Amino acid sequence: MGGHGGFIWSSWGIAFVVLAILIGVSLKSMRARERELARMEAEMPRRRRRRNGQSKTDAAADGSQ
Amino acid sequence: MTRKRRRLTVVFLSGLLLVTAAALVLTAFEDSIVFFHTPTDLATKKDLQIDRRLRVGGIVKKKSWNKQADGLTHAFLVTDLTHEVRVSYKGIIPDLFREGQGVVVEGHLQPDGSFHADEVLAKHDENYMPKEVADALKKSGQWKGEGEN
Amino acid sequence: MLHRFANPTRFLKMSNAVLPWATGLTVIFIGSGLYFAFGASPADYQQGETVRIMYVHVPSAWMAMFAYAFIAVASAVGLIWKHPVAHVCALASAPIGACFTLICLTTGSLWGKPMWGTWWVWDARLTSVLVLFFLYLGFIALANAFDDATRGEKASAILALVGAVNLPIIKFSVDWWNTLHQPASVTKIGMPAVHFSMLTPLLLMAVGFTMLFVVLVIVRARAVLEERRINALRSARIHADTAQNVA
Repeated sequence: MGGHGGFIWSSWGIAFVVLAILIGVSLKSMRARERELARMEAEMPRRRRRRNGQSKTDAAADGSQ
Repeated sequence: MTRKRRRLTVVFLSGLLLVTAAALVLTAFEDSIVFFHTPTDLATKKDLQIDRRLRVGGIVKKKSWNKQADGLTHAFLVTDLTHEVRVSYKGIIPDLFREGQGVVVEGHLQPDGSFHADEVLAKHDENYMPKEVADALKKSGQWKGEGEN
Repeated sequence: MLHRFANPTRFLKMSNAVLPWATGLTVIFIGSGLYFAFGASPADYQQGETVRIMYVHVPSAWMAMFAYAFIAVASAVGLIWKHPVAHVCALASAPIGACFTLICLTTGSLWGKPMWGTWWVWDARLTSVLVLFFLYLGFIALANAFDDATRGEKASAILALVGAVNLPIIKFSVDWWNTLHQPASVTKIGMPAVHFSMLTPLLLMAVGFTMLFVVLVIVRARAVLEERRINALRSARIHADTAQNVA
């Protein structure tokens, strides 16, 4: 790498680490909230909510299983 | 509808005001925003000639680079094609330092009009190409970039 | 047209359709970009192999500015037309833009040391990008500084719009003032300043990063919407309980 390999590899390394952390944190927080939502929806005794238009909660239930 | 219109107008007018203010500030501080001065600035602007730390940028004049036997002491001319200034420097120069290539030096202007640098930075241009293409361009006389070596 | 995206439910439905495609394209473009960046592209005639830092530095810089422009537009839409999803998208994009700015700054520093001979200088380009990074941090901090999410949205949206004045400064800093940073290569008018063999990995990575941005905005926006729904359900339950106790 022309004597500057350290600079080249650490550039790509830093980019990879930063993006990996960002992707990991984003996915983790989304999944955690989907699980939490699914749990709350399941606990709901009264069915006051409209069944239509709640694809969000359906997706959440799918995601956690 | 009218409230939406009003919000739109407020955002638009504040934006206009902000841009104007920013433009005024940037114009007023232009002298401190520039990263370096040109050899022509040194020759024409009186306030740059007093003993003060400053940066000078330009192109290393071809066949002007004089390297002492110790490999650390350098002397070269920095030119903007109108004026030039003699620069002396002791230290390690960056890889990209070449004759015919951009450079920024930092240090003090001496009473004799030469410049004593304690830092040398290479400035590269915006052209990127493989060596073969650069060679071919130079050969066919279509070369427009810097650096002849 | 904008109204179609305003509804959170519709946004979630649409994001479900877009997400797998954007994910696939991210993998394809970044994968082929890496192949070209390290395998199928030549060394530069002056910088040698170090030019390979460009393929991560320049696309990150573009994304840093693109993400901010996106936040500014979303904030304006949120402030003027009061679309709730616009604020959520702005909020979701801010950490992504901050990460790309951080990558841009660090890879730039690692590129500057071997080529220019310095890690950092306070020239107009470098300084204005550092300001962009602080704008991102300020936006994130301000958006989360209020108990009431609506007030945080409004305050941070105003900051985003004020900060947008920095975008043209970043872009044109290399033309308006003397800088150590070289002028724009890809958008240069006339002869292309970047040879085709080097433009290929550059553009592939840029498209890959854009797709990654789309994926991450969707994922993060969903997380924000879900959190709001969780909070709404919680307070509804508390209300129901207190109502029962009173009765």
